[in-house]
Amino acid sequence: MIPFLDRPLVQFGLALAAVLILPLAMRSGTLASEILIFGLAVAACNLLLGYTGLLSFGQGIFFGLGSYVAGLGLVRAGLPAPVVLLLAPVSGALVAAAVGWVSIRRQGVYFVMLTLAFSQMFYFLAYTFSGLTGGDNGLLDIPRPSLGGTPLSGAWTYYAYVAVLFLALFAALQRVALSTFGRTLLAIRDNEGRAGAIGFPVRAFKVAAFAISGAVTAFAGALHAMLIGVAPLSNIDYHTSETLLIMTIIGGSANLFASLLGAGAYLLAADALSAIWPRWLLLLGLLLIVITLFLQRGLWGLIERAVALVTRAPPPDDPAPDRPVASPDPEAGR
Amino acid sequence: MSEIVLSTDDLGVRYGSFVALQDVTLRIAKNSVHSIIGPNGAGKTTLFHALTGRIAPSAGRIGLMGRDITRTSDHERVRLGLARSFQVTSLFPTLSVRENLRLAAQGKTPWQALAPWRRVEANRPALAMADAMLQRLDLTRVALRAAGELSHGQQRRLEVGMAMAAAPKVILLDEPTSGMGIDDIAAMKALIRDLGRDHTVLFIEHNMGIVMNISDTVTVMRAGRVLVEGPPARVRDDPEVRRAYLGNMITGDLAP
Amino acid sequence: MTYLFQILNGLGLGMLYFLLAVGLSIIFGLLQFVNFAHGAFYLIGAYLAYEGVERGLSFWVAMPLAALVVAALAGLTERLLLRRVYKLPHTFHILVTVGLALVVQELVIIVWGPIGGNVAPPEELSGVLILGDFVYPEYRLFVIGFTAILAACLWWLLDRTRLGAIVRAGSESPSNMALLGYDTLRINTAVFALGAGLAGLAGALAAPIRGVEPFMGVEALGIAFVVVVIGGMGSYAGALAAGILVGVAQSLMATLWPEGARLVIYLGMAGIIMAMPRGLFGRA
Repeated sequence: MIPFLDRPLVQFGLALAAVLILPLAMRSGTLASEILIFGLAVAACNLLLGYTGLLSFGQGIFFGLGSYVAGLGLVRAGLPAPVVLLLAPVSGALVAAAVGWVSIRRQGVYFVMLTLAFSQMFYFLAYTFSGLTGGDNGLLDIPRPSLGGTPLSGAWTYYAYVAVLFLALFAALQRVALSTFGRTLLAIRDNEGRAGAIGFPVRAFKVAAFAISGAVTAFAGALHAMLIGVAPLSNIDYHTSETLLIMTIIGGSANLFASLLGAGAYLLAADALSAIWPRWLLLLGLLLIVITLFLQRGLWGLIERAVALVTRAPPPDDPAPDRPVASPDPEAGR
Repeated sequence: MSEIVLSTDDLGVRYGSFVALQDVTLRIAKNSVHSIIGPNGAGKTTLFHALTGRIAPSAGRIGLMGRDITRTSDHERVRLGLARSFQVTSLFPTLSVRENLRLAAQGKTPWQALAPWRRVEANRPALAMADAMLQRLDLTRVALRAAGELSHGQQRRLEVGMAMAAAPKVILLDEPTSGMGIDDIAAMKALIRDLGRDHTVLFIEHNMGIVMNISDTVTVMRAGRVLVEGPPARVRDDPEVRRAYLGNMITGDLAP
Repeated sequence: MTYLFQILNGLGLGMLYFLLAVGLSIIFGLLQFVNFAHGAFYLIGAYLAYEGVERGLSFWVAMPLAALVVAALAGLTERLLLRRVYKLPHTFHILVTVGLALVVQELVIIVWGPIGGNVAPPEELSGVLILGDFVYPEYRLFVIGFTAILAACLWWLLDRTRLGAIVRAGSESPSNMALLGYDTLRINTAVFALGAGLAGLAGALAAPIRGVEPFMGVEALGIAFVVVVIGGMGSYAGALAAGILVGVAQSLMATLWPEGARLVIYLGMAGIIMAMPRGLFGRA
């Protein structure tokens, strides 16, 4: 861990740099928007995994829900985009709080299985009530939002829209992570029993973490539906949950920028590889095995090592005796 | 007798058909140092679990400053002024020592911490408490180190400090000296004695030197029941205690 | 009569779910390892049976052979890969087995194509049983009988043999085993192979009923989790009861409300978890 890189301003600077570099480095504005959108959803997943120690296999529920809220709100109800972008996170928070509330009654692996079973349940809900969700076809013809009367139909104009929202939510999530709430989540991750013993109502904190994660994920889901013009059934299925989790772990769960890194690396690799070989998931599978064996801190861990090499700081996996660990944020000092 | 802060009446705990605790009636006086001793399996830690709300008693009641807390949840009891340390060190290993203490102080107002927008710096009392504790525990030098990297003695002090940081009325210490070296034990003994001035301390301990030396009252437990209770000198000389449990174990000096 | 038909169907389905879930459960019990590749072993079992029959092997040879090959492959995987991962947090157990499942699924598509196929039931059991106006496929009856015998053998293995005692002792406290002086590494491999082999066998037995396709593994994994969640982790009786419960419910729903069959299973699971967080037979 290199404290400098974990500073909030540095993290936000990295995110801002990424937002500015993507248009220069990429040809597809759609793919670039997708990276930011998934970056948000992955950061939300990371709030549970990296900060609270909850491995949720249910993130796809909230992502798909956000897509459906966007589709229903924009197409069926004819609501304006800003209202939909408010409704999506609210419904995401409510459903996530409910899913979280039931799932956290069990711990460890049981918890993981419950979230996975819930993700299946919501998938079949969407599949069964096709009148509402369009079933296999999804909800079609979802319009892009418009600014000052002009719809953001161009890929890069929509990217700009997404980018602004992304940065705002990224900053908001940073604030959450640094708050008394976020720091208590770290304590729960470290030692749940003690967190309860020193007075924290652990379940309430976990449910709240779920609600925030669900809200952000659903927001991302709504942006995604507007991006591709469809709220597909696949957004709520098991694979979306799995993909979000894989992106989170690939990036590394140490901080929020790592999540954007994970989303970007996954989507870019998927885009490049799937063009070459339809069975590219085989390579992804192998990559996951390699990460498990050799790169447990994810891509962020690689960056830390690289920075450590350059600055000749002690390498991250070698615990130096006086290394300040976790929350050494400078503002906290007197 | 001075004011009673913590009391139990006929407290009982069962695990299935196994009776872990039976008819335990205790009166813990304000600002006293009260120790609980007894052989392994006497029910000492079970008593702590019941007092802190980790397990529900099957009989009897628990009172904290006149208030019945028998059915109160564990984190609510912290708010009411009951804090504990654990026999097996239980810290937040990747968080800094200072953060461990800050969290323990924040635990007194846990719902306030639920606000995802409230900055840590906004809770000045908790930060001040953490820094005061660092001083008192002599851990200022390692304040920014991860708790998991401390020496055993330092971890045991932090363990007790976590209970103190909540500024409790009653502080429960479960074998605070377990696994400590001689130097560390002396420091811990001084700390507990010091705590007794402004807190009520209830502690489980096997080191008779400490028990006999700093306790105001000693309760001896055996097989889930209270065997004898009284000041150290009387307990030490009680024939039944000697016969039942202590034998020649009492070697601690009674020097003031 | 249609209900009897559906209940029998459900019983057969439920017994297959039981085989899947009990394998997952014992692997977790002993190794504290979450196996997201469990569905992949089911998938391989089904495809190996399919390939065997396609190549002219008798189903009676192909089916046990498929299970044995799956067990061997699983043992090998445990030895070469998973053993290195046990000491890591659960996250990485999941990551590595999800990776493994992806590799297997894609390999299956590369070798056999994305469409899938059907497996004919063995010659002797291709007919139907007729009792009055009740008609039922013989193969499905065989599956019920055969899995019932297997379940009894498995119970005997886990309850009455030394291996079973070791597995149970290990589940109670993993450090027990090493203390008792058992060769932990070999037992781990054996138990993993057994659990995965059961999944492979379930796949091979299911192939003549539901055909084979590359995504049956993912589906089976979801079902196995539901069964384990409902029945209670580490409980043999729980896996049996929940497996049959889920199978019968799913089968009955197929006549009552076909589109909602799966939904009802998962809703039911949510209900049971609300009422009994530890599942039907979960230990406190």
